[in-house]
Amino acid sequence: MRRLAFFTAASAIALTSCQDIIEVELPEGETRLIVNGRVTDGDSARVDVKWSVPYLNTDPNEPVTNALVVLLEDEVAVDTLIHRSNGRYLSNFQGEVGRSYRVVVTVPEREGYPSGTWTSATEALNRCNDADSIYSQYLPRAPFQQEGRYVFIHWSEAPGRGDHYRVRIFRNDTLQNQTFDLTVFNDDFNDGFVFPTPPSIPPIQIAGPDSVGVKYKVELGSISMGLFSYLNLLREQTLQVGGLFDPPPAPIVGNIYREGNENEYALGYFYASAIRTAEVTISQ
Amino acid sequence: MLWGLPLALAAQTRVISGSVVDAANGESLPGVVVTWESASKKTNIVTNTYGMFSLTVPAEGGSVTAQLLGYSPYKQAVKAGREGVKLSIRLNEQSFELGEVAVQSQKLDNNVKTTEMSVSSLTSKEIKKIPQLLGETDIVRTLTLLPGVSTVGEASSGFNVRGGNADQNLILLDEAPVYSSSHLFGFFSIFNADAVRDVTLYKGGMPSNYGGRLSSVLDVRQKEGNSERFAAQGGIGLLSSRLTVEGPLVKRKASFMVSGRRSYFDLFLPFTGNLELQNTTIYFYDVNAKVNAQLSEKDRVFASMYFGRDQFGAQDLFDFGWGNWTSTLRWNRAVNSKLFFNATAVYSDYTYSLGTPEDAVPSFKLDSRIQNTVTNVGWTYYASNRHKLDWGVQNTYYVFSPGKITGAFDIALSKEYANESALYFSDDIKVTERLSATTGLRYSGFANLGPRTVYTYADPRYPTTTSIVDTTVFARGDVVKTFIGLAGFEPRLALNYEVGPKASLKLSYNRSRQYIHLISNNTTATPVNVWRPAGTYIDPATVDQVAVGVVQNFREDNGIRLTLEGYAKTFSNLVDYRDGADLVFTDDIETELLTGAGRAYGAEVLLEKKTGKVTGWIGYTLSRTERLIDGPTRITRINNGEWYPANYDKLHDLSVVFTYSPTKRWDIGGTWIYQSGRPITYPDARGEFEGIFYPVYTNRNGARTPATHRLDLSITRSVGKRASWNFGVYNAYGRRNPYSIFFRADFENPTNVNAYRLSIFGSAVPFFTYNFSF
Repeated sequence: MRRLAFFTAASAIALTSCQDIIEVELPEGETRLIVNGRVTDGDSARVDVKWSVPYLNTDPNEPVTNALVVLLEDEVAVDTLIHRSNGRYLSNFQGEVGRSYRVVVTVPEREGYPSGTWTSATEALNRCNDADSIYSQYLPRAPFQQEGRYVFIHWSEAPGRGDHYRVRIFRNDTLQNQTFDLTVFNDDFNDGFVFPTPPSIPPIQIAGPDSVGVKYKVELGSISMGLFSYLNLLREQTLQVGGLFDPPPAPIVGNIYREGNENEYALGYFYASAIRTAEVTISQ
Repeated sequence: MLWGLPLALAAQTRVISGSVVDAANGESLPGVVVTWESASKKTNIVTNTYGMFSLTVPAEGGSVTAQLLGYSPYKQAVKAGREGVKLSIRLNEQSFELGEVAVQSQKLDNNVKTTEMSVSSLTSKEIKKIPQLLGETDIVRTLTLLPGVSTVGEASSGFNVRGGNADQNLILLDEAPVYSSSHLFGFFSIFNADAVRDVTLYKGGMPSNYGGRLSSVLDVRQKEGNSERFAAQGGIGLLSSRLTVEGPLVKRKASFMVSGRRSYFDLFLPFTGNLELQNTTIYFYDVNAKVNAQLSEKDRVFASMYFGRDQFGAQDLFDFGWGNWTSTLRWNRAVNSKLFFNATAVYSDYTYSLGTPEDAVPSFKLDSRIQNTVTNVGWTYYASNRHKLDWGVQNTYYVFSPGKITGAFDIALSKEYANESALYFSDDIKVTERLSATTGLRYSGFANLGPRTVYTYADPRYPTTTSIVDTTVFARGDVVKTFIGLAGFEPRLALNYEVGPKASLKLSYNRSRQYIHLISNNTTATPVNVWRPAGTYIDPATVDQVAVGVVQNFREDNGIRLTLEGYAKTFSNLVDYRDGADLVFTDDIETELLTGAGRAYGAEVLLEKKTGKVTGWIGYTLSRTERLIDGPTRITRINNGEWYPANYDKLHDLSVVFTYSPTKRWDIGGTWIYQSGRPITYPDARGEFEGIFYPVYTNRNGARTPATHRLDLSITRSVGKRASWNFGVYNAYGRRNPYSIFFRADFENPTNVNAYRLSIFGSAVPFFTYNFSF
């Protein structure tokens, strides 16, 4: 809804405006710890621990390879994750719907950054329905729509307000992972809707147009309201920038805090998710 | 005995009262200096908003003169006598040939004598001479050329006055509040200059009859309609065309005015060959109308309306429209020669809708609305030439409908109802020959009314969706929350001390309260932003402003005026938003809001040349505007709880505006502006989430865009007596002024980030308009 309004406004502005690449000098802020990770009911738990870098630095974020990463289920430690490579810590542990999870990361001293223990907020692993169907369909040229084959899913929402979801798309087994691929939604306006019983959730277009033979896998995952807000903010702060009607820049703060002080935050988000997948290969 | 008679008459007094109108069209003329001169006394007074005046003078013989810039002076002898005298003064517009001679005989020094300060008045005629974007005469854009008035950037919706947000301006069109003053997302204002008589902007020292907003009052008065003869005027421009028709219903007794305008560049979109543009709708229109009638020598009634709409959409995909509708009924009565009465009833309605076309499957439509019913009753009493009293009662009833969705599913946010009432009193007195004072007091109160469901939160100071502990349901008519108490007093004071015939010192103080807030977390407001009233969790905002000023006129005719003003303002309970706030279709809006303080201070210089072949002004503002949002936890703070510059904070703002009329046929207009860069936020680190990189911001508005400067030029050539061509160019030297600087990562290599400058106007924008009248 809001994006529609912004789109129309942006279209009007686009008639006269222009954009140029320029040189700027940016301030260099303090280095911050970044902790991202997830535990799901369908694959291995993982946590990435890195350091932030100056914004225009073209190198990858520096990994933390010597952290102690402990996963807790309902406040009981269930595993210590092992560092594999590039700051990624893994465990074979899988979560369970109805339980809640938290990660505790202890980082040794680094130049200009004292050692310390960081924790995520506790995240519940919520329910998630399977997709009802997934299919590809040819659509002709129309305003704001290219001709070609598109991928859709049908899906039913579980009754009871408060569900939040994230969709991840894999094209030929490669995760589509640009900022604009971040897709989240909630059941504010479609609680308990079942396809095709009215009022129903219309088919959701997830990809296209694309070629015959391309395989698409959809991962539908339950998420918390916290991650829903975080990803919306991340999307907004990276895509809706610089324009007349864009929100002011804001810190993108997740759920990682220094243990004992919620006001001192690290970057990143640790979350729990029930994941359901469906896949289709585009056909004639 | 006989030689003693004049002395005896001089000791007795009588009242000369009446009205002043434009002889050409019968329009009332406010701001006219009416002077009495006789052997024993010389005194003057200024006509009020409705062109009325009352002078108490000796009973001896003398003369009355009436003077207004741009009009030939009027003079009438008045015989000795004790009876009151009623005058209907008709001023003739100055013709060009007379100009130089006539103007020099005038002494238009009212700016030196009045307590009024921080006020700018412009007539439609003045505004039309200034170069405008695409030739569209734009009142709001012209106001931003005055000191103390700015915008976030070019094509921004609304305007900012002395550090105030755009929602802190009370915009009145014939006394009706207007909630969106822009067409086309801020490119043009909704005021059709052909339908507007004059515009007054109060930046400070607000008279006590105005209230409800913190930072300014923009009082726009529509034309009353020509009561002398039928007339029409119009224009054909690149963007839109307009036509105004006016004339007498009963000569000199009743008249009407109807004006319409519509943009039409959407009509050319089908010829672009682009499928998306062929199916795009984009236009605006507005209609202004007014009738007035002199019912008796004492009574006059007016009825006026405005209706405007913007429409934007792709025919098969979505429709988006918004607009204001206002209607005003007004009754003026001269109760007696000293007492004037005014009663006004207003209805104002702002709506927007957004969604799919009705026949789309699935269909969806979001409607939002704010309705106001306003009643004002006021009196003005001229106790003497040195003493004027104003008092009145005002009431506004609000209905806020923040959102209703219909179509595939139906859902609505709760409506909110509220009532705002005010009493005001103002005393304008000339204390000594040199010192004048206007003291005013306004008392306002506000009630948020049911039906409404209100949540109770664990910490009511910082509500969150997860901390609801109780729910209270209020029935229709129940009082949800009131704001009645000592905080409702809004004192106003203005002093003027004449240090000489051409110079004065001024001082003003005013407190204002604002009970409704525009909920907008965008750099500039959009038509889809909603207004919400003060209530259980939103307090009214307050501002205190002190301003000091110096006025110095130059030349015999006071044709050159220098005004220096300094101001300081402190704001409290300003609404701001949590990081990442979702304000669209949110019922418990308090969970997204934060409140804080603000401060603004600055100095303004205005050098005006009002007469001669070259007229115009140079305006300069040096100012600072900052905000403070602090709280006990990280999420209740902005910028770590430290002061930060507001989005529209600009240290330097310079405008040079001139009109050169070398002959009767030609007018050459020019505008040059220079503004310091506006605050923006630069990232100071790069974070990462699952392979997606993002900026880390820790210092809100800690950086600035480069400065903005721009030259606009126009030439108007009259063709005969009734038509003219207007050619010009906006942004003449094609400067790419930065609206913002932002960053975008390379698609293939996301650690490779470029900085971009967004310019709203990328090049010079030429225009032409053909104007006619008959």
